[in-house]
Amino acid sequence: MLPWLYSLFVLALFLVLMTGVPIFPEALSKPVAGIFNLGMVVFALLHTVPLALAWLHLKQRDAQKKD
Amino acid sequence: MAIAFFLLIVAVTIGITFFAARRTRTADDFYVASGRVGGFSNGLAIAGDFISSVTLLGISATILSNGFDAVIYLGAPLVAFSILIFLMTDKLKELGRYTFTDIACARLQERPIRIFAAISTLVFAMMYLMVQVVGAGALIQVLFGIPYAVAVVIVTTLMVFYVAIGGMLATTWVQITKAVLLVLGITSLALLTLAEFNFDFTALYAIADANHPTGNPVMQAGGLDLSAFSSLSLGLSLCFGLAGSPHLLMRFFTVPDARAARQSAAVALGAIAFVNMMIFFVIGAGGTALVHGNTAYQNAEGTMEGGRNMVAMHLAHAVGGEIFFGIMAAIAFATILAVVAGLTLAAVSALSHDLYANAIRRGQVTEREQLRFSRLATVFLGVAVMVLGIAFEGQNIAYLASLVMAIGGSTNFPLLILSIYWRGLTTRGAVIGGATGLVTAIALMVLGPAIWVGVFGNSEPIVDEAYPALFAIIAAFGTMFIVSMLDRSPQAASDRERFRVMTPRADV
Repeated sequence: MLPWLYSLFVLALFLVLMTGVPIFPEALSKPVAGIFNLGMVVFALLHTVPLALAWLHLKQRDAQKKD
Repeated sequence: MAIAFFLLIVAVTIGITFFAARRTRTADDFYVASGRVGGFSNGLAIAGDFISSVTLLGISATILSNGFDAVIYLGAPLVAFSILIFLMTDKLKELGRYTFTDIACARLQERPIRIFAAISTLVFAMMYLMVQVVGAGALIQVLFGIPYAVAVVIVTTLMVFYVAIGGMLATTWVQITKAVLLVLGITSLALLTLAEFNFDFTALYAIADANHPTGNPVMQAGGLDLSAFSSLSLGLSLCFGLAGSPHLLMRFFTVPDARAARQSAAVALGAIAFVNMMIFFVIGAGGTALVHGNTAYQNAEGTMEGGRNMVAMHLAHAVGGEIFFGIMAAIAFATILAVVAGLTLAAVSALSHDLYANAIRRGQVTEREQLRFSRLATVFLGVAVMVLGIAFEGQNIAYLASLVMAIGGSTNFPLLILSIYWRGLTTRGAVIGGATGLVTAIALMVLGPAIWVGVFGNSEPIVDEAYPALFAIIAAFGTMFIVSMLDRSPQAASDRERFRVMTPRADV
């Protein structure tokens, strides 16, 4: 189930952007820190979280293979 | 200067192709480089295969025109590659040999699936090649001052040369070269842009916000003015279309094992994420701040020289001068070559492996015959794409590319993901559902504003929705589910029984 959870989590982050752009653009444009608004933070997460999950997934698959 | 770098790129890639040609003797060499490509190298090649001129030029232009909303284009590949890594690569490598169709054929009836998948792959690859070649022609025309038709002939001739002579090995090396050049070029462009503002993001964004043509801050959402349906349709079609792109899927057969396949997807994900972030956070804003409204980059009508798609190239000139502009122009050209080579190889594999060798000759074909057919098919495709590229001059390529993704998302992707994960899928359901998705996607594309109005010259489109892909995706998945559930044929029982080949194995 973990691979599905990882995929759905990444898809959920993208859904925030896909629905946010037409439905709640003001919320995405709210400043969070420095030049970053909420949308930019979600975008940054979408570009870093999958890498972390991919690394975790590779480790888990390697461990499974050793077992 | 740009011409000199352009000629250098052409010379290097031709050298690579001749070198690869000496190592390409069997069908295995031609289609999948005999599975000898390492995980890291293949990851770079996948990134090289995926990142097209639309990313470098089109997204920078979208940020300039529509600001933050470019995230829908930029975010989709991250989801697509996550789906590939977490859900698909193991099965692709375990059950596939030359094309993604091998996976579906491991449990479904071979002939109808191969015929359907070959048709959908050909339609996808031809349309996407046409889009890339139209973009390439326009880009080369602006960058190097070569007439559009000549530029199209140059690109398609090189594309045929790489694939027909060097096969997958030459294509892989061209893609790796391009990926390395692109990452270096984009990093340099971002650093030089930031250097203009003393590496102060606040200063960069202050000028970009003041200079943005919408009058709003560059990172304010809502610039594309999409409805909720259009936004979901565009985003999901890009995600599923990319995850079902035959030219990306076949790259997973070039590595020795499933571990290397997963590793290559992760490397590609890293490279794409890096390039996306550089473009989104620095280059898009830099173009808005330094190029938009700059009279040095305006023509007599007061608009940007070469159109807004050239904003990243003008930025390269603004921050790095003539030499850096020449380097970036050559990298943009290499970007196009790598993508069209990968697409051509996918189309040729569908034609020769799925359609000719398996569906028509039912496996009774020698390697020599298959290779000869593949090379002939490459030349035929090259000529067809050349004609289409010249006929479709001036079309909006970023928009057309998003429509083409609807084909991948409503044919290959549902077939592949349901073959792997749903025991109930039957051959009848897969073929009827896939055909429904393909016909719906093409009909919506033809009847929509891009072709019905833009190409056929009608005053009003029959389908008003600008991003109708979600209809085709729902139609494909829905039909596959309904037809498969109602299918009580002996073949359906066999299809469900053979689902056991999809259960995880311990040796991968």
